[in-house]
Amino acid sequence: MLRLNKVMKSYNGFQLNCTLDVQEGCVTGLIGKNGAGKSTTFKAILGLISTDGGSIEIFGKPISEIGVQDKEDIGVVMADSGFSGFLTIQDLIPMLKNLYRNFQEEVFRRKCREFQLPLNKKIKEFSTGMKRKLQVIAALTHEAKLLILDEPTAGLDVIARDELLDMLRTYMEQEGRAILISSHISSDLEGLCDDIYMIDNGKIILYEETDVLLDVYGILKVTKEQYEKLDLEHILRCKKEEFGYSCLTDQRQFYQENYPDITVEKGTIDELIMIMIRGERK
Amino acid sequence: MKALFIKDLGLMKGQKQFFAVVLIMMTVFLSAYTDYSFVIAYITVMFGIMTLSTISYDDQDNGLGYLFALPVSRRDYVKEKYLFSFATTIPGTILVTVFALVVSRIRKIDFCIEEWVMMVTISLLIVVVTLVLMIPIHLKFGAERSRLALMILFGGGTLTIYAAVKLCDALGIDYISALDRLADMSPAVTLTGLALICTVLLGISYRCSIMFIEAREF
Repeated sequence: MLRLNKVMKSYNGFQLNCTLDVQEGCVTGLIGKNGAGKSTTFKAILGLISTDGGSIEIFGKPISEIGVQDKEDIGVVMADSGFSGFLTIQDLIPMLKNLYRNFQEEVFRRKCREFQLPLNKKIKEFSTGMKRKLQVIAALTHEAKLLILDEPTAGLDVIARDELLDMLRTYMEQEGRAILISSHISSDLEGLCDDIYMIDNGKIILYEETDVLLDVYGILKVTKEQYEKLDLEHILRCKKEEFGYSCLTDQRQFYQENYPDITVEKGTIDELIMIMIRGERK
Repeated sequence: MKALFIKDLGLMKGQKQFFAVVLIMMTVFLSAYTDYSFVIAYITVMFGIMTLSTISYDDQDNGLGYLFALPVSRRDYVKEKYLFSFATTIPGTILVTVFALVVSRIRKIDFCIEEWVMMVTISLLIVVVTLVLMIPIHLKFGAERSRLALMILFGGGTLTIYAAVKLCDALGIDYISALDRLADMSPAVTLTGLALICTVLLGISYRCSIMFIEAREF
């Protein structure tokens, strides 16, 4: 569905070098701290910035060949922009009808009602969460094959976030679809994504299937003495702590079996990010 | 393209204050004065440059980036802006003319067709020159920085004209009689000449706009 191969982009003091793949039928997450390169990656995919090297393919076509008709098959949520604030949703409906052959007006109106989005209020008067909901609804109501969602849950309350994630799960029930999603709320991704890329300083530092990440990866909490005796072969990163070290491993079971006296935790995606980014490579 | 027209009409629909000002100005000028030249020119220019405000609205909060992530090509966007400016200028001119005609009949004031032609021509020239300069500048620099760019451009333009006049004086070129000859041309020749110049300027402006928008990053 989507393939980025060594996509490069340089800004002052920042260099993106990203390779990732979004397979049909999969929800792929892109995680990383602020300024890690998530939005730059999304903008490169959407053709909003030029790239200095590498290649991007969507639906098997190079991005330079992606035309308006292909874009009808893509649903977009952007973190730092949206529909003009001077329009109302009522103004948007005829516009969307003319932009997308498969625009589902009734579904769009119903979702707006469900999310309590007023049709006749200017979008600039909406809260951040309301603007985000509007973008998500627009992305989901024109039979897109690929969703590119940059922080779709930002600014949403817990209930709205849950409803939105349910909408994405329902969207994925149909074959031939895929989602690339970024979120700073890792629990969103844990329950939704099939695989996850972690990006830091413009580079992909980890790729793993979510199940593997949660079931096989782990965090060892060890004292200095325990650390010195530890087999570091399966340790990816270590971070100094007050009690000693937190160590990230991709072989949790190995340490559970061979070091019964040390604390081995499953770890959340947040903790994995933290150690991957702040920890030292072993 | 149709979707973009609908969007811009939506943006215009929201500008109730603008239309209220236009209506008040039109009513005040048409009821208080007997010379309608100014009001015709004013309304034509106001409607003509409305397109620029739609670019500013699109651009706010990086909205253009989102628009280009939707099925909207950058070329279509530029094309629509030029067409939309025609689509607003012409009805604006017709509206104020009809209004002026009706009021002149009611107030029993002579409505001079020659004067009307002259005023509409001058107004359309102002509109074309403004759009030819401002659309590419808005697209290149965005709404905020385009003001500064325009000031620099006008400053540069004024200096260039001043330098050209000084150069003509220094070289003994009689540019005044050349301008007089232009003024003495028949209206048909003048209008055809102006139409040709406007077409060429619009063509250059359109090309520049395409170049700027395609190079812009969001």
